Amino acid sequence: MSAEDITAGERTGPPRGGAAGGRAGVSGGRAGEAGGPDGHARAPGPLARTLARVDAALDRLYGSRYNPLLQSGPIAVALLLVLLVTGIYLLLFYRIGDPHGSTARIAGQAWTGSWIRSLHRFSSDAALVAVAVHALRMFARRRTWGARALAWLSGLALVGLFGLIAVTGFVMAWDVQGQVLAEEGARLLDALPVFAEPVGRTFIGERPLPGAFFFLNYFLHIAVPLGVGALLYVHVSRVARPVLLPPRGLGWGLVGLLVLLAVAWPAPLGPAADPARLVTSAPFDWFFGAWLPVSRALPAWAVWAAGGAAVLAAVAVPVLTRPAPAARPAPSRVDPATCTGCEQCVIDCPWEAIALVARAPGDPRPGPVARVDPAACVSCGICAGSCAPMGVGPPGRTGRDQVARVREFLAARAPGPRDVVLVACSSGPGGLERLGAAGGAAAAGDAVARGGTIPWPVSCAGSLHTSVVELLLRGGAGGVVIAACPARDCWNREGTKWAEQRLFHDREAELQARVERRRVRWVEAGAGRPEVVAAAVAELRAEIATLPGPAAERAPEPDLACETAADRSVETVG
Amino acid sequence: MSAARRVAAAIVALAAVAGLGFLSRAPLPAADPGEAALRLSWRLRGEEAGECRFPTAAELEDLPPHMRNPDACAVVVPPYRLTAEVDGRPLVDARVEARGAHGDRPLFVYRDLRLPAGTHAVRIRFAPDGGPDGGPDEGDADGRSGDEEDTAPLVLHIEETLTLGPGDVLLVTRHPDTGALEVRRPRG
Repeated sequence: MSAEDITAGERTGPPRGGAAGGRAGVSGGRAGEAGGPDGHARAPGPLARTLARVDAALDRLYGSRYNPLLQSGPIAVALLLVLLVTGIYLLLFYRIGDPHGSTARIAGQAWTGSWIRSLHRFSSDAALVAVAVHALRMFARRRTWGARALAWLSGLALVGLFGLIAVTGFVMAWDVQGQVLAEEGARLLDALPVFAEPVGRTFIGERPLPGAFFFLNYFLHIAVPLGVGALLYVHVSRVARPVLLPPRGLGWGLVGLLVLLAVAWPAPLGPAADPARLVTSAPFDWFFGAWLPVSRALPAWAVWAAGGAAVLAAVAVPVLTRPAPAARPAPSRVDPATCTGCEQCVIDCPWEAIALVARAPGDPRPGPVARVDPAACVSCGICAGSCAPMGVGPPGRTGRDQVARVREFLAARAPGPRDVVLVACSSGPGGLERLGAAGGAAAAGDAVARGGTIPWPVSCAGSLHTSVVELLLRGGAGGVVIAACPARDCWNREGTKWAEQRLFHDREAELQARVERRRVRWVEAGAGRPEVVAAAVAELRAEIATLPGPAAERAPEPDLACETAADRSVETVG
Repeated sequence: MSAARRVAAAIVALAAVAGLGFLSRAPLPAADPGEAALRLSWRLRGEEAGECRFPTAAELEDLPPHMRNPDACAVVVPPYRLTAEVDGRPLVDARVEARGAHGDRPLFVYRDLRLPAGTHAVRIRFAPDGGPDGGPDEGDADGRSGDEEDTAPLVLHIEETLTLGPGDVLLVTRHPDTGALEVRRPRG
C-alpha cells in the first residue's frame, strides 16, 4: 500500500465518531493508534502482527477452517481426550511394583503398546504446544483482562496441572529421564524449609526406593486430570457455546499424523534409572524438560525466584494488560424504551452477559427487558448487530449510532454507483493498512484504494447492524463488501458467524429481503490476508459494472421491528 | 486448492510432526562423561540438649487429655560441622543445623560431590560444631548402633582411598548396625 493509496483511503473514509468529514477508515491513522469509526480502538502490537503473518501463511496452506493456529484451544482439548484414551490402556499394563519393567513391556508390544505409549507421549507434547500457542494468542490480543481474566487465570492453573501430570508421567516410567526429573524436583523441594528430611535422599540408593513413591506418582497422574476437567469447566464458564473440539477433519488429521509418528518413530524409553550411575546423556523430551539444563545450572533458590517471578508476572497479566479506565471500552447498555424483550441479544451474546428481566415498576411496556451485566460484558458490540430496533449496544456503537454515522457520511459525500464500500473488521481485515505500513503487505491496500473504494471499519463484523448495509446501498453505493475475520478466529468468538447469518440467512436483525444481494459480498480473511479482501472487492466491482444502476433511494427507512419470542412461536405453530 | 499447495501443506505438516518427534528425544547432556560422584547421605539424631519442665497436676488437668505430657522437655539438637577433603583438598566445610522449626529434628547430611573419575583419597568428618577441638574424640563413633537414637555416635569419621570409574556413584552413609560411616554402592 503506497502512501498515496493510504491518503486516498483516508479522504474517502466515513466520519469518525460522528464528526463529519473526519479521518477514519481502513486506512485511517498511523499504526498502533487507529480505530474504527465506531470508536472501538484496536492497536495490534508487534506480537499480534507477527501472529497475523504466521496465521496468513498457514491460512494459505490449509484454509482458515483447518488452520491449526486458529484452533489452539480446541486442539489442546482434543489432545487431552487422546491422552485420556491412551492413558487408560497404559494403566491396564503398568505395574507400580515394576515401573520400568512394565513400561518396557508395554513399549515392546509391537502391535499395540508401542504406538499407544508413543501416541500418549506425542499427544502430551503437541498439547503443550497447543496450550502455549493458545496463551500466546490470547496475550497478543489482550484478551486477558476484565471478563476474560477468569479464563486467563484458570488457563494458567491448567498449565500448572498439565505440567504436574506430565512430570509424574515421566517419573512413572522410571527411566533415566524420570530419574533426572525426580532428582531435580527433589533438589528444588529441598530448598523449601518444609520437609523434616531431605526429599533427595529418596533417590540416591541409600535404601530401596519406597513403593509409596511410585504409588504417589500413579495416584497424582490419575487424580490430577480430574482437576483438569473441573478447571476446564471454569475456563470456559463465562462463554456461551464454547467450542471444545476442532473441526473433525483437523482433529482426526492431527491424531492421524501423531499415530503415524508413533508407528514410524516410537517414543524412546531410556535405560532404567540407576542411582549407582550418573546420567551422562539421556534421550529427553524437551517439551517438558527444556527447563532442566537451566535449572540444574542454578542454585535452587535462584530457580524458585525465577519461577516465582514468572508465575507472578503471568498472574498479573490481567492487571498489566488492562487499559486505563479512560481507554477501557464501555460495556453495552440497554435502552428500555426501545427494547422489545425479543431475546435475540441474549441469544447472540457470546459472553452470556445479557439476561431478560422484568421491567421496572411503572414501565407500561409489555414483556421483559434486556439487562447487561457490566462485569461480564467485553464490549464486543455483537448485541448492537443483533438488535433490529437498535436498543442495545456499547455507547457510541449501537445500531442507532451506526445509522447516524451513515447518514452523516451520505450527507457529506454521496457515493457513486461504481463505488464499493468495504466494511472491514478492524481486528482482522480492517487492520490491513497497519500491517501493510509495518510490513509491506500492500495488495489489499492497493486494490482498496484503487478508485472508489470506501473503507468502513467496524470493531467486529458481528457488531454491524444490517441497516448500515441497506443505507449505504440506498445512499448510492454500487456495492458493499463485508470483510470479517475467519469464523474460527473471530476476536469476539461469534461475530463472524452471526453477521453472516444476519446478512444471508435471515437470522434476526436480518438484512431486509428488499436489499439486492448481488451488491453485497461476504469475505472472511485474517489481518494478514489482504489479497483475499482485494479479490472480493475486485470481483464485486466487476459484477456491479454489469448490473443495471442501483435503485438508490435517498430516504431509506430501515426496518426497526424485531420479532419477539412469541412471534416466532406463532410462526412455528402456523 | 492446487496440487502444489497440497504438497506444500503435507510437507509442512510432516515437518512439524517430525520436529515434534525429534524434540521428544533430543539428548539431554546431564553430566560430564568423565565425572563420578560421591554422595554423602546420612541421618543422625545428635546429642539432645534442653531444659525439661514438669507441669503440676493442676496444670495437666487444664490440658486436653492428649496433651498431658508429664515432662515437657524443650529439645534442641546442637549443630554439627561437616568437613570433606578429597586428595587433601577441602571440598566441604559446612555447618549442619538440625531440621524442624524448633531445631529438634535429626541432623541430615545430603551432599553430592562431583569428582573426576579415578582414585582419590577421601577424608570425611561429621562432629558437633563449636567445641574447642572440634568436638569429642573420633573414637566415639565406633561400636554404636545407628538404630538406637539415644546411643548415637557423636562423631562420624571416615578416611579411605576410593576408585571411581566414569559415571560411577559411591555412597557414603552410616552402617545400619554399627552406625559408623561406610562407603558402598547405592542400591538400585
